[in-house]
Amino acid sequence: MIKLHRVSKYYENKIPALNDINLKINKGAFVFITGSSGAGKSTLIKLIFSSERPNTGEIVVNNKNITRMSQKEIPFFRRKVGVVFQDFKIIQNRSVYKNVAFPLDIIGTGRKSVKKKVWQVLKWVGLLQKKDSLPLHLSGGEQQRVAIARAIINNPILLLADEPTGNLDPLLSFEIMKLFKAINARGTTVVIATHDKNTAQKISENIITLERGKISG
Amino acid sequence: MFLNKIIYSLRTVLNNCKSNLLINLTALATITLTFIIFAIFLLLVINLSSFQKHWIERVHVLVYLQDDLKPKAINNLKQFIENQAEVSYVKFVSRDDAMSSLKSSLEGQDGILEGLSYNPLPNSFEVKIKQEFLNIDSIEKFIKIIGQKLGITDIEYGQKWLERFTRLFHFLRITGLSFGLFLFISSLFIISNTIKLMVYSRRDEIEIMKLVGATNRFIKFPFYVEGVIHGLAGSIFALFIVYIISLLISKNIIAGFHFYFGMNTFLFLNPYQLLTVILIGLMLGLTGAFISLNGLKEFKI
Repeated sequence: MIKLHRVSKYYENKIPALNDINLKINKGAFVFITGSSGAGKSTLIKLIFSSERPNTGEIVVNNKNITRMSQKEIPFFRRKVGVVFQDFKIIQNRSVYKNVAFPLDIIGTGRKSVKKKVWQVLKWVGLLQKKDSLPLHLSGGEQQRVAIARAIINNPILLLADEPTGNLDPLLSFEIMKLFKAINARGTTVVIATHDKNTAQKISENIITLERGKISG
Repeated sequence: MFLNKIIYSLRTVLNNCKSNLLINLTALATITLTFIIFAIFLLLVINLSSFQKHWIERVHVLVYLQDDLKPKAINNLKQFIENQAEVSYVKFVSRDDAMSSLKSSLEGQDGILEGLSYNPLPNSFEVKIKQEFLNIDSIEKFIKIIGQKLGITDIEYGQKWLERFTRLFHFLRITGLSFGLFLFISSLFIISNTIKLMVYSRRDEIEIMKLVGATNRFIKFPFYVEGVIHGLAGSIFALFIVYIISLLISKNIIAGFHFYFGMNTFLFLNPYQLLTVILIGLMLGLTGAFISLNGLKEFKI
């Protein structure tokens, strides 16, 4: 599903965020990327999501070399990939329903179909009762479930999550992780970046550890 | 699918307008004001041009003759003038006819001429110029040719008026053009800044749109629509306001103007000119949006 070949990424300070990374993640895998702050976890997620381009190396996602992808192709690639962030990135002045429907609206899905899909997903993440609520009136865990619902509404082949439980207490974190496991069970490849190695070890054996931009284990 | 996208974008425009009402109204007011000033200048130029045409059409060249000119010489001169390409017809006005005409035009004020013991008016030709030669250059050329003939004392066609008028007309055109250009650049700046403010106010939403796979074209479309709405609405409001102003001018001022200059109506823009102003509004909105959206970091990957 994901292949990285000799990938390096430098920012302006010239210190490599990722240094000569080689990596392979199989289709249907549930993978944690762990490491301390600044190890390069978020950069790796951004590169796989094509939110940033590597300075050197090649990245292949779902048999597509995304390093050679044109700017115009990126949105179409992103429609096959779901992303979840620590800060949820949901629109605060729109209802839960509208937030989840957003990816369908931008591809021009009809109203009836949008309604059907949003109801299904909201039911699945346990937020159907709150479909008309604004995100401000939801707890952190609920907001993250809105973000997850939005990420999976298009049935992505790959779900990326960058510190998805960073703002949540242990109990809520566990609930969110259960949700990711369920998504993975439906066949979606899941890659989660987290600094919490202990939680990762409890949930999956598939852990990639980054240290100063290099894979250490 | 495409229609759904359009509907979604238009709903976004409506929401944006509602949530940024004050910014939108300020931009709209400024653009309307720009177009009001532009349309007023346009109306002035159109009406002055119509007035100039109207006035020139009534131009007669008066050729005054020496008192002692024999009938044969007068006839020769008449023939010479008639043979000029610019001339439509020539009418001889004897000094007696000129006096009777003056008397009839001074009806009721005959006292003015009472003390006059002799007729001071000269014989003259009233020359009507053909339609295609009714412009200053042709008239001046014609006057230069016949002015060289002996027996002619003076030629008159209201040239000072015409020159002054042409200068005023030229001045108005240049002023209108420079002022208009300045206002349009300001409007462009205002539209592009308004749209930039809209982009900044929706920065988070744009970021999320990109995350979920929206194309730049889809994200930018509502902003272009907003620019077009500003330009179109501004120009249409302005035309409406200027139309009301022109109606008021027609009713209250033209009556007095007619007495002096024979103008019957204050002209408003014709449908072609109206459409041009509206199209300028549309282009202004589109260009403003294009300037503001081009190169914004919000639209990079």
